[in-house]
Amino acid sequence: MVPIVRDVRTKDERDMFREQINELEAALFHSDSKIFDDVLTARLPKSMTDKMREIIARPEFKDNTQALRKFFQDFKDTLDMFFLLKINIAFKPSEQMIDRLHDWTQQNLGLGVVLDINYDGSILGGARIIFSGKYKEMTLAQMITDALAKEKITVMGMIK
Amino acid sequence: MSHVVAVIPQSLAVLFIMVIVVVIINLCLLAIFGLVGAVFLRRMHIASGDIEQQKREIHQKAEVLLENARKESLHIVEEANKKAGELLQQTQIVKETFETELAVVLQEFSQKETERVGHISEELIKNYRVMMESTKQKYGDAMLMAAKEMADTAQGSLTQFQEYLKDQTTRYESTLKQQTQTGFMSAQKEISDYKRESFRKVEDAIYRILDLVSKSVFGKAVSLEDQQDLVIHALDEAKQQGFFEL
Repeated sequence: MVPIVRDVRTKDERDMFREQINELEAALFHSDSKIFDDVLTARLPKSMTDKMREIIARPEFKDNTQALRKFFQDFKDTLDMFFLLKINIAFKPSEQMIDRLHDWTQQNLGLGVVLDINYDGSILGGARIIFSGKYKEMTLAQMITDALAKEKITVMGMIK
Repeated sequence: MSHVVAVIPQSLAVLFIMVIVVVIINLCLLAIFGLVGAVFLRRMHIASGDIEQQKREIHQKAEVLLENARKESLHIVEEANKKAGELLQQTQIVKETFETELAVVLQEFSQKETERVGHISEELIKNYRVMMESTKQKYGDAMLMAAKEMADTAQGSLTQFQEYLKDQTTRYESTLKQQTQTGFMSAQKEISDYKRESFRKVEDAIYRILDLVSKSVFGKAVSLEDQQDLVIHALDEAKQQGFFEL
């Protein structure tokens, strides 16, 4: 696996990287190497630019456009193989929270999982989780609904 | 011939000297190789000692690192356990608050609705009885009126009049019985429908009230930090239930 992919946290970041790699690939065909460098500097986030520079500076990529193209293709293939972990939560996540969720997925599900986080206030708390075609409701709203169903029987019993 | 005889011992002497020289050279070479070998072995020995020393140092450093890592891991696990304990306690408190609020609201609401439905049912039954009494009275009056008219205008015998009266009485009784039965069934259906509709309204109202109460309770009770912990808790629980297994 290309080492840099472990820094890809979310679906949006994955899509953005795929687009940027496409641009870098296109820039490889330019005779002017400055264009490639411009794309690398201007389009990628700083942290990624530095890591990408480290990789490109390796001896096997030096003056070897074909090897570099293969590297980019491997990178994109790896991104395409990622599993999507979709979670709905009751608040807008901060960067720290995204990091925390990313750490959780790496520790518990391993590499190769990206997050698709969406805000849904109606769930009140907890998370609605969708993974690999499966669905799980672990929300406060569900807890309340369950409690209502339980209490409904009690109340109807009292009235009857 | 004598010349040949003189040359042979001379050649043997030269050969002998050459053999001696070769032996001496070989001995010298052997000595040099031996010396060089000794120096090489000595250096090897010293180098071997250095390597052993380095290995010991590396081993010691590795042990220190492992010990530190172990301590750090233990610390992290203790912290994680502590946090998990706190989270579980907080979740329990929130749950208990919610359940208490829920129980109070349900109790009050159900009592009120039970009383209301019971009161309405009693009213309906009372009205039904009044109506039946009134109907019965009207039939009785009509029968007496008919009898009076018959008596006044009777041309036949008293027996014929009695027969006629008997027939009329039977007919009125039958009609009254049938109407009473129909009225009773109608009233029963009306009460049953009303109760069903009341239950549905009660059910809807319970959902609305509890939805408001729970949103109000959780909206105030759950901080952003709690919200974040609840998400991680939900993921942990889903994992424990095997949700992420492919």
